[in-house]
Amino acid sequence: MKLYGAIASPYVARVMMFAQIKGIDLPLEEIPGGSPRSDDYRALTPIGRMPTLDVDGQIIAESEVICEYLEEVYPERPGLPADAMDRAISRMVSRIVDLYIAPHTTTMVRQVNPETRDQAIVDENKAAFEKGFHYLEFFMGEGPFAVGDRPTLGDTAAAPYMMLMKKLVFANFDEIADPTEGDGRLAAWWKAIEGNDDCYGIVQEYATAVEGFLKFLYSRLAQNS
Amino acid sequence: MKLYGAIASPYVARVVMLARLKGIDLPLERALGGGLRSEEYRAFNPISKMPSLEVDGRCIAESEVICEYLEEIYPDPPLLPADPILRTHSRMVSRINDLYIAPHNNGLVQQQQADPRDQQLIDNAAAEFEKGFRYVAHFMGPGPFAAGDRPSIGDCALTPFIIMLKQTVFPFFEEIPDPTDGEGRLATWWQAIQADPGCREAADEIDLGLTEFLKYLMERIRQRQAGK
Repeated sequence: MKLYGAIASPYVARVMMFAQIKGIDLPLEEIPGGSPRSDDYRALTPIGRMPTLDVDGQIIAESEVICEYLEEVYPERPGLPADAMDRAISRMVSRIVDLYIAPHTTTMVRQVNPETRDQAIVDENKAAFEKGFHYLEFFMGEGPFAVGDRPTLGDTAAAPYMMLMKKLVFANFDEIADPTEGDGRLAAWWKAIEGNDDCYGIVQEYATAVEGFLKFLYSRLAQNS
Repeated sequence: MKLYGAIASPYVARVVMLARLKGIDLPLERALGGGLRSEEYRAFNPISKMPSLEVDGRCIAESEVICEYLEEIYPDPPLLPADPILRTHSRMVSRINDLYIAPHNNGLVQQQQADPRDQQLIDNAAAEFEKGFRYVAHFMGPGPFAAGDRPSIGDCALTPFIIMLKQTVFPFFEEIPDPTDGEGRLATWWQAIQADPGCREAADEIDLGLTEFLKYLMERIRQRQAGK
């Protein structure tokens, strides 16, 4: 079984963190053909995105589907809570990240340079992020993790994206406050993530990789303008 | 336990279809407070979308999460296969529908009556739908359903969207062919949905609910465009 992808992707980091909290040894392998757009990779998955899980030649796409699969075939250390409502909460946290936070991060890359910034776009995304954080705080269960005293699926989705927010958004846009600072639910949550070696080890690996990737994106934008 | 939403929403229809196939008595109610944007509904579900499931006063939002919850608390009959790999096919069909098919419907309904049409918008949508249908056909499991010989969550996700596209897109845009025509994987799939009594009944219920809603919507669009 192997995971195709690069840790600079928050979706790859999610699966790696999920495997980590479950104690699964899941080697990360370079994408066949070197890029998600390569013909070799598209032969495995026409979607051309990462990660994919290769299970003896059977290809599973979509990070959430991969995580649910790992949960089912490696039941010993649960990556989801036992209670059905708590499981729903953990899954909701994932969905909220994917639907209401993630889509607004891509447009922020182009806004980083203050000289070419479109403040209207920044303000729109700021409003969207604030809503997303509010949804997370509303739906997260008893803490300190997304639900309960152990990390689960929702944590693996939210933690890489929160690190991306720290590197890309909170660092560059004063007007967008970091909800993990202060005393709110997300502050308690982030402290729990930082205090958990399984989670934070992956977060730090992801942080290093995404820093490099962001630098590359900024320099390409500068060249193109 | 109750489900808030209107069946004209394919996300609501997904949960209704699942409940019907599992024999769960799940009343469908209009959002409390009279609407999605009401203070009452926002207090219950700040995302203000449908569907949401109310369980002992608590809110479960997001149709896939609701489906997985119902599957867990009502395990019989199962709407996910037993085999973990087959389960991935069912879930992939749901995700691919949500990520690569559903979003491209935006703006097309308005183009039905538009004169002149925005050809760029239509061509873009056509390209995206072609990809989405190709992805979903690729990742479907053994047939004829989304994952094997019985309906599952993936079928409940895809069916309402195909019904919506059959009503609002395929008849009006030559550029966007119906993938359930002909002999491809999606044609086999659609035939299975039609041939299965439970799926057929749910599909008909969804189809009727959508027809009624669209009558109302098209009239509003016509009025707005006539007013320009």
